[in-house]
Amino acid sequence: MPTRTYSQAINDALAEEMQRDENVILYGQDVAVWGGIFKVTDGLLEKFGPDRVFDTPISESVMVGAGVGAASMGLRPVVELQFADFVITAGDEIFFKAGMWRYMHGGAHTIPLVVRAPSGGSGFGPEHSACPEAFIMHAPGLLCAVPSTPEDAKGLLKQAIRLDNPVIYFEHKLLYQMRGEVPDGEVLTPFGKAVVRREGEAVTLVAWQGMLRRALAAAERLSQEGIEVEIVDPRTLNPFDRETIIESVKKTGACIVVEEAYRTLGVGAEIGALLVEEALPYLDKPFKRLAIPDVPIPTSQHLVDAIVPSVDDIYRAVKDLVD
Amino acid sequence: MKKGEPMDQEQLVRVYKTSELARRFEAKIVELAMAGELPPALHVGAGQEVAQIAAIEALRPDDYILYGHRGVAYMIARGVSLADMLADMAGKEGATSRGKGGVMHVVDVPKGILGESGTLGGSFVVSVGVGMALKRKQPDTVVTYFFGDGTANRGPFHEALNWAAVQKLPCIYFCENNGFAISMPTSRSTAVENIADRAAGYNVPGVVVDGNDPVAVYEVMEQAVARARAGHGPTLIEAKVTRLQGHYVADQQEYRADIDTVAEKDPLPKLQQTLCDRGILTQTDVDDIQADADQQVEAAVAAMRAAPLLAPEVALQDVYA
Amino acid sequence: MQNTKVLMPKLGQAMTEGVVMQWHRKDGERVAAGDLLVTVETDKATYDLEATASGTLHVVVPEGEEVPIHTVIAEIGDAPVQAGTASAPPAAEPVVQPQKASRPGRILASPKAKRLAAEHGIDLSTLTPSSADSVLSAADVERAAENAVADQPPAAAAHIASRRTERERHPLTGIRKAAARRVQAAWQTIPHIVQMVDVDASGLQAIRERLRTDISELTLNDLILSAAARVLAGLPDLNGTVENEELILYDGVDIGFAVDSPRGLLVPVIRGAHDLSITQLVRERQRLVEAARAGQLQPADRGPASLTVSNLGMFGIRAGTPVINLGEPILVFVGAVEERPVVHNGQIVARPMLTLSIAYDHRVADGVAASRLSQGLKEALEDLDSKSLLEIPNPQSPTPSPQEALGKREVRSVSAGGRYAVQVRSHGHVWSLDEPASDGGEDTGPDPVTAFLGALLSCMTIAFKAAARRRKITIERIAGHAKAPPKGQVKEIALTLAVWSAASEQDLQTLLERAKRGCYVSGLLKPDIRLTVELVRHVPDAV
Repeated sequence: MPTRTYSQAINDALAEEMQRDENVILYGQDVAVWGGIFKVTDGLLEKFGPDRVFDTPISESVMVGAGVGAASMGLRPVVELQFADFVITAGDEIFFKAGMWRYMHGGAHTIPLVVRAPSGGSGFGPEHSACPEAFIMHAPGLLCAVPSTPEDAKGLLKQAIRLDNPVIYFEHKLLYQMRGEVPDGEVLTPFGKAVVRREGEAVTLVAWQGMLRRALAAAERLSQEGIEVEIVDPRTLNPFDRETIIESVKKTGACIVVEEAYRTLGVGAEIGALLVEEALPYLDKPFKRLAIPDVPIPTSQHLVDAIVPSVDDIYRAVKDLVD
Repeated sequence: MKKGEPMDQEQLVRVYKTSELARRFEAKIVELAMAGELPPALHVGAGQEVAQIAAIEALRPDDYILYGHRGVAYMIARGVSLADMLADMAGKEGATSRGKGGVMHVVDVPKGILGESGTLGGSFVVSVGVGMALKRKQPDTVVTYFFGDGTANRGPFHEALNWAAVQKLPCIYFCENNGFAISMPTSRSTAVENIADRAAGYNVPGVVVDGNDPVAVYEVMEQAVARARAGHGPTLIEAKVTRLQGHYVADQQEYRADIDTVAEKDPLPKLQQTLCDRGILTQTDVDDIQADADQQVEAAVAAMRAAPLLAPEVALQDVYA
Repeated sequence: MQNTKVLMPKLGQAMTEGVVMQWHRKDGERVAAGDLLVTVETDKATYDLEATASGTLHVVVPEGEEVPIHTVIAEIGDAPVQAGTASAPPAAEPVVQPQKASRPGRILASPKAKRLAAEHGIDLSTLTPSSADSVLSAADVERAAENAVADQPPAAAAHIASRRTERERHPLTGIRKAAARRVQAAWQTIPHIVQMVDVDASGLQAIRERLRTDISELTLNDLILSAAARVLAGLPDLNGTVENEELILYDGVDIGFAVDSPRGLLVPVIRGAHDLSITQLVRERQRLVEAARAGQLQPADRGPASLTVSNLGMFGIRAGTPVINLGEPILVFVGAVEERPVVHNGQIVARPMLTLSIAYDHRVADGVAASRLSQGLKEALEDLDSKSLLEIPNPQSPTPSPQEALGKREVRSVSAGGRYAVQVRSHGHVWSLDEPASDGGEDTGPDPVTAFLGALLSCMTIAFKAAARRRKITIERIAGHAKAPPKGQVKEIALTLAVWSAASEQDLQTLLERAKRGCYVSGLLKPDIRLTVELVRHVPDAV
């Protein structure tokens, strides 16, 4: 199988879908001529021309809002927000227009819109480093993808472009250069199907993107001590694959969610509530969250390291729970 | 700007007829709302409907509109069923938005009615996307966004006009300036005298027109539509219109200095007078038009009353395609 | 260099603990790999362990002590024995005592622990948490469920004992201790019902005499073992156990029987007894008895069984209320054969009679189901046929097979007594067909036509989905309805498939045409039966 970087996989997905369907258009700040500030869309302008790949002014509201209008009229826009934090900047357009325009008009419109949102990482400061997927998961009408591997980056994006509902597609900035196998031919990853990245009995870890990599590293260390954890990667947060997590917890009796986001009312809080509502008789240990304490994400790396869950944090949390 | 095609007599009569129907329909809605039969959820458009309908007269049936929260004349001009709009208010079968949007969000895509944003001026940005899609998929059609002077002070106005202008999209921005943003006079909220003055900032034509004169409104719309169809981009039209009633049904308008004299500016009796003076309509014609309008309204009310309430499970539907 | 550890071995699936019976070498003695080291005992048998390394023997667990499996019982080598290696995790003392005083009346336990306790019928207040947080965990409950015996005698019993003159006190060890624990767990966790049935043994005796000329070792009990195996094989619903609120059914009939051995009562198991001729069964029974007496039963020779036969007839016992072996559903207690006055054709006559006292796990068998076996066994024993006994019941499998190999599209059925109810069995599935009470049945299952409608509707649905799968059309849901006239010969059947899919009406109609062709069950209908299939399309609303 060929290997591609996460970034190349996204570029491949865009190119393939634009080739397949002329209604797919791609725009955002600096995406065309410059190829995107993270160079994810490099070369697409040359392939598909300025009518389908174009730059926009610094106008997040109209970027997303126009995406809703264009989608309702039959185009399949893919909009790149330069940073995922800007889903808040375009809040009216994301939450009300993309999320509710169809519902508010009694189903008269379909909104096949994809908003690509580079999330996470560090060194960018409080307004450029967040993983705001919990905001999206909380809102009705918005699908939410969080690919963690090049294969899923490609498969989820291609699937997202084909869905008739708005998708907020979070690309983790620290994964762009991650290399991984991507199968030849059509790669489509279904929404709402989590994947078990590692099997074990001791505890269920739920993690995705940057935190998944750390969870896997911690699992390797724990395994050397005879502790086998199970790691579930949800892949999409809406729709959310409740069954896979519940099945895993039935086996392990314990669950830790690791997320690169604020702790209070995060995705982990939702998973905790889900387990209490639907899997309480199987929980043998307190449910745990590893998340960013409720402070903004600072710029300096060592300060970021002080608040974002690390491999050590995950390792210790598992040890504390199983000992 | 050069003058557009003048409105013919038949069109003017149609504007009058539609205005009478809209005026009477909205009056009935207010009556039913005061009686408690419908929720008081309408922002009455009385006084502005003549400009709205005259502007729409300049559009073709395959053109699209997005609109503001000021009345339902737009929908009547495009032929949306009165009974369905009453059902929108009553939450009954037939409601165009299936009980989700009420009368504020009437939608009828085949008739070119694309809907309305809940946040004021929220459709500016949507209109840009509609323009992008029309340019690529339905060239030669246009989209008109009707908005109030108050919403022109929101950020999306700026983002949308700028980018629509850059892309030369087939969008027409039709501002109905009635002098008030709910209770706040435009003079206190807005730094420029005319909203249309801002057109210079986007390098698009900006035109001020008397919104109480349907012939003048039609002319500037005709010009803007021609420009948009030709691929030259948007026009910002500002019609100075008259809001006869309050912001919402029970608004007593204590804030309004012109409250005693505003009725004199009502364009509808003037239009009727003009048509009679020019010998286009007789008093009998007028009586027939008004009786016909009342009859349509009563039929719609009867149909709405006969329709069943939407089933509760409808609340769970239409989130996803 | 580290010492080689000698662990208490796990010698069978059910084994959780073992007793160190005898050290054949002394503590501190040098041993060589291969030397006979120690004899350990489980509830069923004893085993000799050899040394796996050479060096000095450090005995950790003395003779007579019982420890959990995988516990270190000795080390071989020259390094000192590390403190604490002897204490197995389950026996560990709690680090912190539960702080019950601070929260009177409330027992801290994890939700999973509570669920397990409810399932095992364990009172959480009797348990001690093993974790530092004083919260009872699932592991605490599971351990208690395995032990299932109170370490302390009830307070009342202790009180009475104190007023009596105690002569001697012996800690239970080895087989007795394990047996005591198992029988208590069985008595506490299995809701027993006992049915007693009198059997005219004259036929039984006659057959034994007839067959003894060829099979000299044949006992009356062998005939009962064989009959029980064959009757139970026809009642597959009774061949099961209940664990964690699940009924687990097993293939093949394994029959256990009690053997008195020098180490106490043992229960070896004849595997696949329903597939053995009486000759084969007797041979296997003899082998097991010898192995049991010599302490050489292999793990595969021991339980759990599908049914165990216990015969105390030689002691003149007529009937009893037996306790079922843990992990099994049925125990058949065989009483003494004795001459009893019975009424035969209006006359009081003396007949050789025996009484079977059959205990059932009430969770597996309700009274009616149990009666089927009780009655079936009585009928089988009173009407034994030497020819069929000598035959191997399943000619396809000349060697005993615990698995009954039914293929796809192959079923067996059995219908007991004068009832309509038919039990049908395929590979891995059992279901019942019956008639409603109005038609003379007991309504234990759908009537055959209704069952057929279910098969037809399911087949059409599966065929539809298979066609959709081939064309990559997403079907969210199919709801079906099938109806035939309620009485008489079936002349017409109306099927409706309501399909939730975003696919077009035309696509779905195409799928339906494919499904009609692909539905093999509809192909079983006679041509003059009118089958209509209607499709109703629903557009799904959600993603």
